[in-house]
Amino acid sequence: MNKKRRTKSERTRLREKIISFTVLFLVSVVWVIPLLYMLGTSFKSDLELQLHPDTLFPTSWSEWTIEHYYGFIVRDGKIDNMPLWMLNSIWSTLATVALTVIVDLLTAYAVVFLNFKGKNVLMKFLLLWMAVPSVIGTAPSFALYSSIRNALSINGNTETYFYIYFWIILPGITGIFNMLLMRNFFDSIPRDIIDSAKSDGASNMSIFRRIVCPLAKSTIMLIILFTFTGSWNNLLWPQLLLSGGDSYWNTITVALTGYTGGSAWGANGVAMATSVFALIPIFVVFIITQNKMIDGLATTGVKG
Amino acid sequence: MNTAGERKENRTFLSLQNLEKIYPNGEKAVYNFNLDIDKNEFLVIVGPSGCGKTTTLRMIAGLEDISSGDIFLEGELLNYKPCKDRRMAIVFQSYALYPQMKVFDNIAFPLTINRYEAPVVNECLQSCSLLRALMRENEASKLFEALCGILGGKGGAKAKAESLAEVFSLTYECAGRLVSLCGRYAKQSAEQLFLQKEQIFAEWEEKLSAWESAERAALAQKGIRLDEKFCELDENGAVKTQMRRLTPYEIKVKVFETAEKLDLTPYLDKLPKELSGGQMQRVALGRAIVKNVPIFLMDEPLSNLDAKLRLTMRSEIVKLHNRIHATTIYVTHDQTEAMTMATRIVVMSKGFVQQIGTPEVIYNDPANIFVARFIGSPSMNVFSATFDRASSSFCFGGLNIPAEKDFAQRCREFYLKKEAELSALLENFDQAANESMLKLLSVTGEYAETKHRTAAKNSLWANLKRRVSKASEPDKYEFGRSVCARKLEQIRSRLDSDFELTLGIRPECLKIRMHGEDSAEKMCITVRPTVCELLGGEYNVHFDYNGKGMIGQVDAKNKISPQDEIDVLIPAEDLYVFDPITGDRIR
Repeated sequence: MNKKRRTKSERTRLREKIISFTVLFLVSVVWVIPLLYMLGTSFKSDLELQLHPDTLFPTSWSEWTIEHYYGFIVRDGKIDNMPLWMLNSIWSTLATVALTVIVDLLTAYAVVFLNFKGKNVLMKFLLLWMAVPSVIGTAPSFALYSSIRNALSINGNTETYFYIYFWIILPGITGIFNMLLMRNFFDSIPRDIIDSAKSDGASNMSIFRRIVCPLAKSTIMLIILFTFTGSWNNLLWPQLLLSGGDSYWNTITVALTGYTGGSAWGANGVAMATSVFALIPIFVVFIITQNKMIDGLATTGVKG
Repeated sequence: MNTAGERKENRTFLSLQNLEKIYPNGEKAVYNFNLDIDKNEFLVIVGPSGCGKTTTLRMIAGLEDISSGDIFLEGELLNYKPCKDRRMAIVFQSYALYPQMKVFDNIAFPLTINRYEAPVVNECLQSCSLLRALMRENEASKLFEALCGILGGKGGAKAKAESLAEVFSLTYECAGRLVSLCGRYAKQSAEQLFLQKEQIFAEWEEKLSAWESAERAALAQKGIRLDEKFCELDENGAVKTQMRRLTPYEIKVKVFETAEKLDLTPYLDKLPKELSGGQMQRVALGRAIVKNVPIFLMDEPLSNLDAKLRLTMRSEIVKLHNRIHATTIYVTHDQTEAMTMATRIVVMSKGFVQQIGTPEVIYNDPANIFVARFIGSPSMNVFSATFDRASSSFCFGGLNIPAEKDFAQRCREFYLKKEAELSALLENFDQAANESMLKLLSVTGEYAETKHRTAAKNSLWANLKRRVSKASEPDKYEFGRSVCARKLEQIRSRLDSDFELTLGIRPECLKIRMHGEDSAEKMCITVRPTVCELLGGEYNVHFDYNGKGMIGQVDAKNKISPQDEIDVLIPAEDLYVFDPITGDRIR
């Protein structure tokens, strides 16, 4: 028996590894079970759905079905609203993300690299604004929304649709947190680089386009991820605006709430299938941004 | 005032007049900076950190606002010109390369941003003539081979045109036309083409003349005339010019030219992070050179390099300066760099210019004690000695060093002059007087006191208290006035008694010998060295005398160790005499 004895530090490291692995495993199990349940249930046949006690997955291979995914698209022989909701969600989220990135980049650039009167006051105001819970703004925003709608007398179907979505998108892009992330990153760019670009003859626009933005790639990815999830999951405000509108105007998150609560539509399988679909875009965005995002977290000094 | 200023500017290249900088927090970084810089000068601004040298440079570059004063470049006021229009290139200590761009793009950046004045060229006619020259001058077989090589390769028409332009050094327009000329023969090999050479050339010639005549007709219709280089002429027969961006081809040529000058060609495809410090600094220099501007500003460009590289880069920069005939303003805290590179040195301390002069003047004839101590390595030995009026000699420990005969007289004159100056200041104490007091303190190094006091005065609590009590603003110049009064008193007490003076002597002027060799000299001190540093060719010998640490330099031929006793001779003619009150040199 010539077993290699571990040094003390190796032993501690091993112990730490085991402990952290166990804890992480337990936590991830707690998080993953609902997801697995969702995934499994979406493939169950109608018979399986009524089984008691419930199971995570269909009980036998023959019971697996994609009927509910079919039900996601077609209901009672017609194309269902569900794909439309998905589209609504996707375009409004993409618009929010694009606008947020542009607005945040421009604001952060101005705050960090330009000198203007009242810069510090503006910054303090923005920080203060971040401390106000967004729910507080809901009632006044809604009042504003409806009075502007009355004033402009927006009644037509398409007009109303775009008016509502304008209001869904607009508050999303005014988040201060993302701008602060950007500002932190810009602060970390050495001033000499900007100065040297200036003396090379670059205007603010070309400094912004050719030097600052390419450097900010990873932070932009981070902001894309944050805004995408935030906007995709946004429920309260769209629900408020969309209530009473045509049902095909809903976003997917608003629609998903239809499956819960008293007036549930009862199709558990379809509900789960919808959830799976609702998850896909987030998953895709995460996969795309995750590598860059980790860089972004490291450089902006924000701990997730 | 204005006309006088203008007359002055005509002579000088870059002129800085009464330049001052006050930061928003009220701190004054640069006081009354006056300097005229000639063309092709290598000016070094040197001083300890925090003395305002970088601020001055940034003001010249336009990166920092000017609080008061003017900058003229060839008689043109620069104060309100944005940084990009100042025709200056700046090199930073941190290199400031754009991290996401390759070396090529880094150097090309200024070229892609700016517009340059260029004559308006009729590209159609120019490319026709270029193509004719191509057909005439190249051997047909080689020409076809090269053409087939490129046109048969991968890439779109644009990429092919680019590589053609590079191979035959044509303009892009011209290369594009060449591609269209070759369009019919794309599928054939070079030999096949060579066989039908006559036919091809005839066909090309036909096409070229067709293009030419069409273009000439169009020009005649518009009434535009051209000169022999296909530049458009205006009504008076002068060449028309326009501001335009450089074409990618022109940029490429310029970047490669610059890279060759700096031996950077192998690194053009790399990112800055893959380069070493010296290479990064060369890229930064390249970016400055490629702009082709008359003034180079360098902000401690060598401070981030290791000692050996610094030495080579130092000579590189000087060589570069001589080759491109630019005016260079170089900021450093390293006095060796200043002495070796400069044609003229500006020594600064605490925001004040202490002395301006050539390296020889600065070294051999320092204006005050600050300059004397700052320049020179190892720095000057400074000690205080009593001036004995009766024997006209300096007493330092047991040593009596004879002063020059008329020294007492000169000393008296010096103090009388100072006394008159200070009492005039004290009588009417204003902003300027306060500043001259601050300058005096910057020389003697008693500055810390005032900084502390202003900080206390500006603190929030003090401000509040002042506002609440509505007390009258305290005397702004209180401190300056008290300093002035104190100095004046000290000077008056010196007019008629023996007093202490500060003497300085450069380490290499001390004559060091082994003890007992020739002890006939009177003015010798005999000491044991505390440390002997062998530098290779010479020793730095540290020793204590009269409670004062001193350094001498001696040839390494004589072996000296801390056990030996040495004789140190202080030659009277190499002594510098400073007034300890004002720090000025008594000449």
